Amino acid sequence: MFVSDKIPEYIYASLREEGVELDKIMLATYCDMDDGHVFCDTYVVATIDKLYVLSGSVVLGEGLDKAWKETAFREYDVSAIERLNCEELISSARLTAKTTDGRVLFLTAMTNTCRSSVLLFIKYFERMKRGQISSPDFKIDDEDTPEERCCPKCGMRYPDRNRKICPRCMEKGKLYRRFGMFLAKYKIYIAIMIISLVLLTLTSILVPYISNEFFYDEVLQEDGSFFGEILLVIGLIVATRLLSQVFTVINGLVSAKISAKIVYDLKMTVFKAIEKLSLSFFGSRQTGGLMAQVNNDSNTLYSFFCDGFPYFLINIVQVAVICVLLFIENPLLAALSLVTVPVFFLIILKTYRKEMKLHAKTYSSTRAMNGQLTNVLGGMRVVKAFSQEDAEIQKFDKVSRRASRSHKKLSLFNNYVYPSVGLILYLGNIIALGVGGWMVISGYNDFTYGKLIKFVAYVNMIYSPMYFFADMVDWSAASTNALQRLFEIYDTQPDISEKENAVTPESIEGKVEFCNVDFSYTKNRKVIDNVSFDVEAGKTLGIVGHTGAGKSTIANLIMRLYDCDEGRVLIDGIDVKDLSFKALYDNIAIVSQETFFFIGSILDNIRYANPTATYEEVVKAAKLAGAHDFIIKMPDAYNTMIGFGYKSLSGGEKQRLSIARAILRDPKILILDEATAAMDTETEKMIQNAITSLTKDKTTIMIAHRLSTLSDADELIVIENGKVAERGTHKELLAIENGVYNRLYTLQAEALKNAGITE
Amino acid sequence: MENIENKNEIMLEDAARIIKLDGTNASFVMKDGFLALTLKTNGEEKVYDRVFLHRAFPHELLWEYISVTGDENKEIGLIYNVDDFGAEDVELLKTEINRKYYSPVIFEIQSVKERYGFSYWKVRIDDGRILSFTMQDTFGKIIRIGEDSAILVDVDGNRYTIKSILGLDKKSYRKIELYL
Repeated sequence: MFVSDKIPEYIYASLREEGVELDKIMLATYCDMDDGHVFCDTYVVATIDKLYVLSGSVVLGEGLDKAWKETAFREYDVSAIERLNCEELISSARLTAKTTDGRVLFLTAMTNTCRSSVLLFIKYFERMKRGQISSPDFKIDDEDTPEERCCPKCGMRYPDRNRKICPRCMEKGKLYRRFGMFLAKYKIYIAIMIISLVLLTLTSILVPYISNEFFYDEVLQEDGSFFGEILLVIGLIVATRLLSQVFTVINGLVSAKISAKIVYDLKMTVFKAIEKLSLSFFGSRQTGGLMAQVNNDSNTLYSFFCDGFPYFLINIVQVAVICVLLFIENPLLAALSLVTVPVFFLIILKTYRKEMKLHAKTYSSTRAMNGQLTNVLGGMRVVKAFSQEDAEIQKFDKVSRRASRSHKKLSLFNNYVYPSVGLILYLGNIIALGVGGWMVISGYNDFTYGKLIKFVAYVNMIYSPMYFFADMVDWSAASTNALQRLFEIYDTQPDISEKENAVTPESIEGKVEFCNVDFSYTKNRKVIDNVSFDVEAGKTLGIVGHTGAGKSTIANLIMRLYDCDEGRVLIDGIDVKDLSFKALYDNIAIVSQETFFFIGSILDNIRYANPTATYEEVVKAAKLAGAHDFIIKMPDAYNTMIGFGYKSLSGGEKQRLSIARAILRDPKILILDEATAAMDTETEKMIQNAITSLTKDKTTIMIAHRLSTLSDADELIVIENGKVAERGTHKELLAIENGVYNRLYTLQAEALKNAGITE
Repeated sequence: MENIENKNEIMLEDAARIIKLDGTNASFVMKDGFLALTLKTNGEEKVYDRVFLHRAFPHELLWEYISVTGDENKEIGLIYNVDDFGAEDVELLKTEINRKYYSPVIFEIQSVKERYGFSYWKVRIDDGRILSFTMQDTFGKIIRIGEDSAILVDVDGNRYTIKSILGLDKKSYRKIELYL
């Protein structure tokens, strides 16, 4: 039995009372509304023969006892239901059933929270209908088990099933430990940095002692142990300073050496993780955001762990050692001098939240301003075409002013708060001088002038770490966020992954088959619905259909850019999921309407498909694609730089380069996805030869709006609403009166005729 | 040639034509839990067993410019204002629209906790209930509507509305301020 949510015992009791045979329940799920969209508890239960819907709620009974109060119970024959459907509204959804006589039944409503469970219910209900499962103890797919969907510790559903990370149970400490493991390979360098910092601290603590207490009390005083030995003191001071410089240089050198390496490593780690992700991941993220993530987060992490964290440790040691020294020297004066430290932290904590807000506002207003700028610059052509320059200036002025205001506020805040709290901290110094001076004059506890000067110097040495600690809170928060984002990408599992024992056949013939394939980009919105067809090796299949009918999705499924939800896609009888990526991508090439070229020469871009191709092969491919002639006319010919920021090509030129790239690949299976859509009819005719040479002896899947380009295909399928509506040759389909193909063809021919184009 | 031009003009006219629905040509009933429409055109009545309502300007005009589509997602007509119908129809239309655009209105934000790229919200909504939900990419999933309203979209796709951000109490405002 598959129960997508926990079902309480009283519900089973209630079902039993309604005559449901509990031992026959195959599936059950929970919804949080009823069929009137009223919040209540609704349970949908299926046996092999019946579908039950039970609604009600837990109410207060006598006293404080809670009792289940049933409000509705309905039952349906499974045999009368053709399929279940989860219809999306905005924040809610409806579970409906389409009956075999074409009616639609409203079973229940739910908020989107219940939708994923209901979709699982529907998935297994369909399998039950198909007879794939027939007894309550059927096997649930691994990915649908509660262990895969919920946190084993707290039971909460994972917010993102692919990540299997429970934010509630995730410890921040673990993040740092994981990152520590990442830094482990630099442990020697980091150890050297920390040792040099410790030594640097020790030497800096020595300086006030030598130049103050030792100098005044032991060298300048007649009863001092080193009276008159001024050279000795100067020598010691110079030696300590030199030593301090040596440690600073060592630290700087090591830091410079590893900083670039760590940032490089971090960026590569994230970039490699991004490259492995499936196309669906990029569909839900902004590429610009990802790039910023890779860059900024790597820098944030480096600066925290290599600049911040070691100094944090060192400052802790420094403060602890100085505090001990101060209290040993003069406990009363130490206590009085440090009384301002807690006050300082109290004020910093109080103002921290305000500062965070100002930072967040500054960040978001700057982001808005940059976004506006990028937006307008990218669409400058449209701005000019609609004479909207003034309106855009006003919009930019608005966001720019907002950014300026938030920057000013932050700056004012920092200039006001930090000097003020600094002053409070400095009061400790004044106290030390005042009370200490009185102690020296009154000879309190042998407190000498030298000791006082040393004492004041040490008190001052405590203040700068205080500022550092105050900043550390902000710093650690930023690095924790960066770590979270980094591991978020790193932990994301690609939807499409190669099987461990994936097959790489010696050669591929190129037969393509779709067997009862279902697919949806977003759950429950089927783009491909039970599609089956096959193309023999070396033959051409044309795919026809309206925009959004699902044609390009078929290409995506053959390429395995996405995996189908149900059914199988086969190449030479092997499921594409069982084929190795190498076997798949070496034998399939696609020429699509959206061409993309990387920054580089035309030569590099054609060679992208086959980096080892010779110059002659590149020229031949370009000639076949009808690209050679326009390339050769350019001053830099094949070495012309194209891509973002370089020479722009027309739609037709880009398409011909794209075809040349595919020719160079020489695949067994070729997908032409609206390959000639960007060209006018004349240009299309001109490169028809290129396409013919490209498709020769290859299995070709040709997707096109312009039906005339498909008339030579061995077979055509017409896709409508994700289903195969018609199948046959051009002639056969034209012969179907009132057929979809016939209608489309007639309309297009008429439109072309109106435009004065005859084919 | 003239015929073809005329035909093209007619096609364009057809494409731009808006069929206005009001109490004079349309009436609604609930049928098996779904909204059904009876449309009178040129003296003929046509019954659509199941129609869907869509706000054209969901953040600006709640009861105006409501598109009515049929089973195949083709527009049957446009309601300029639901008040152009009789009281019974208005109630049906408003109920159906409210169901479709159901989005709890947040009155108080009790807590927001950030953890590992997700934020956990505990809020009190218009009917007094306390709801908890999770958001991912919080900055991106708080959609500002005009200067003072916002829509929050949780990981499941549920939407929550804040009608007036400045109208929230101080504590609530402080919790959401960082994301705005």
